[in-house]
Parts: sequence; structure tokens; C-alpha cells
Amino acid sequence: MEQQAQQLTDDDRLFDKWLGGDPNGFSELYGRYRGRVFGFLLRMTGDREVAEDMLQETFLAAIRNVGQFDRSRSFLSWLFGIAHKRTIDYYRHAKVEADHVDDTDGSVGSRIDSPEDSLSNKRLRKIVGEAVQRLDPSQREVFMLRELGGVPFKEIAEMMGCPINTALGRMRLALINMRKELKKRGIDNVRQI
Amino acid sequence: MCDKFEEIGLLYVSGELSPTEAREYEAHVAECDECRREMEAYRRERAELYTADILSESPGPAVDAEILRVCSTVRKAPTVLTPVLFLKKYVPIPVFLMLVAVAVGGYFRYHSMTAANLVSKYGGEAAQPDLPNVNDNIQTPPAPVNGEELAMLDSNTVIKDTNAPFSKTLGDLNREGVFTVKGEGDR
Repeated sequence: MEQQAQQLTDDDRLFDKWLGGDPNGFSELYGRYRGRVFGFLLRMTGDREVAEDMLQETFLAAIRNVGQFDRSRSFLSWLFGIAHKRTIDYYRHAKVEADHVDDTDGSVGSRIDSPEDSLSNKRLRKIVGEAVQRLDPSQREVFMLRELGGVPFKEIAEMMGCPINTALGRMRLALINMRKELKKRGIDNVRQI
Repeated sequence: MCDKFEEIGLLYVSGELSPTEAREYEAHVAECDECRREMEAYRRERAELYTADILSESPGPAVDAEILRVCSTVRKAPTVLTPVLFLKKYVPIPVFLMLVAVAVGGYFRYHSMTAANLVSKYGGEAAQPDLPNVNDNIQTPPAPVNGEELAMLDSNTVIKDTNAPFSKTLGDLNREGVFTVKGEGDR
């Protein structure tokens, strides 16, 4: 909790720095959150190139709409709100959901491999990534928004246009299914690997 | 199945309950084994199955460089400070509400300026110099000899006064005491 509060304070400081005209403010915020936003976009689209384009669109939209940022919210939640809208547009226009489900059979791994990972980290990331990919899209959406974006359930429910209990129910199922999938692959605790 | 706090454990574990709600939930799980097991499972799963670091991914360095380059060329949208936004930002709420009340009051006062209350305010036929004298623009019939002939005018005839922002019928003016039609009361 304290760490989270400290992070929010740091975000505020960087945000003020950025608004004050110092470009380092933006690059530090970008460096801090690029991995989380990109992880979300990658898991939601299943395609590295598409996710990279959407990452750029997300940060550009953040710059253009910085005046709309409500300082009472967390910067990361706001950023995830923008990224989430990009994924909705992606599904709406490209209609790739069917292909996306097919991708989970194996080809996704090669399309989302991260170039920076060590071997063990890469293996773990791949296994967890596949487990996430096998979740029902609505469960995956809630799971990634909450766990990577730190978006509160109330805001997730608003973003998805559903009651908060539905969002909580999807999260519960996501955790149960994640546990099953990881167990199948012989993983009980990622911290012990 | 205890449905009183179903899935509230997730909110508790995520730190999304208010202090009062959290205390109420803690009191409940102290007595309800089912909810306590569920809450512990949530806590364990979130600790054991993944970390934010494992779920995060890195875009290629070329992508990072390109995003930082493009973003540095984009200007932030300036926050447009409209008069309303300015008032909301810099004027305390009670003063802001008072200004709104004065503006609304002024609007209604301006639009309620009818001929009747102008006349009553400035003294009827003995009008103030700046009050348009409607009598000047009334086309009277040629050389009315007495009140009866004047009374022949239709009281619904609209008398237009080009200097006044209103139109009145002869009857209206008579009733409001602006212009007295002789014999009107006799009809």
C-alpha cells in the first residue's frame, strides 16, 4: 500500500514536470509504464506489431488529451483507459477475435516473444502468457486491467459497461482458470522458479 | 454458500474497500470459514500465479525510440480557459454561486420590463423625458369631435409605436392607463 502511495506521488511529480515543459517528465513516465501498457495490448491483441502501433497511439492520445486527466485518479489507470479504448476499436474494426482465439493453439508465442528476456524469465513469461491467452476474452480483459493497470474494479465495470459484480465474477473465474492452466504446465508458484 | 460477502474478498484483497467496509468484512470473515478461505485463496493466487513484471512485456528498442521521438514533436493540447472554467478554477464556490444568481436574476428582471411596469415605475402619462410617449404615434381619426367618435375605434386595433419595444392595442393602453379613450367605459 505504501509503495503504491509512493508511486502515485512520484507520478504526480513526473506529471508536473512534464506539464511544466520538461520532456524528461514524459520520458520517465513512459519508461515506468511502457511495459505494463504494452503487456496489456499484447495480451489483448496477440500480435506484437499491432500492439506496438497501439502503444504509440496510446501515448500520443495521452499527450493530446492530457488536459482531460483527472488528478484524483492514478495516471496508470487513465493510461489503461486509453489503451482499453484502442483494443475495443481494434476488435470492432478488424474483427480479429476469431483469429485471436485460434492463435492460442501455438502461434502466439512466436508473435509475442519479448526480445529482452533471459531464458528462465522468457520461459516463465511464455507459460504465464499462454495461460492468460487461454482465458475467455472478457475474463482476460478484467484480469489484465486490474493486475497490470491497477484499475479499480469500479472503473473496470464502467469501462466494460457492466455491473461491478459481473467484473468481480469475471476476475474470480480468471483466477480459477489461471490456476488450472498453470497447474497443467507444472507451475504452482511463479516465485519459486 | 455464503452470499452476503460474495466476491467482496477480491475488493478487500485489492484494497478497494473503505475503512468501514473493510472492518465489517474482517468481522465477517472472522466468523465465516467459507469467506475466509475464499479471501485467502484470492490473496494466494495473486501472490503465486503471476507478478506485474511477468505480465509486462517490452516493445523493441526501435519502437521505444520512435515513440519518444514522435511524442516529443507533438504539442500538448492547451487547456482552454473559458470564462466558466476560469470562474470554477479561481473563484470560491459561494462567490461563484452568487454570481450565477445575480446573472439569472438580472436576466429575468430585464425580460420582465413590460410597458405596464415601465409606466408604473416612471409615473404614467406624465412620463419621464426618456420614456417614449406612445400618444405621439397613435393615428387618431381625422378630427374627432367628441368622445363618441373616438370610441368608434376598434379596441383591438394594434397601435404600433416605432419608438417603443412593444405593440399594444388601443384597449390594452386604455386598460393600463397609458391612453384614455374617451367613452371607452361607456361601451
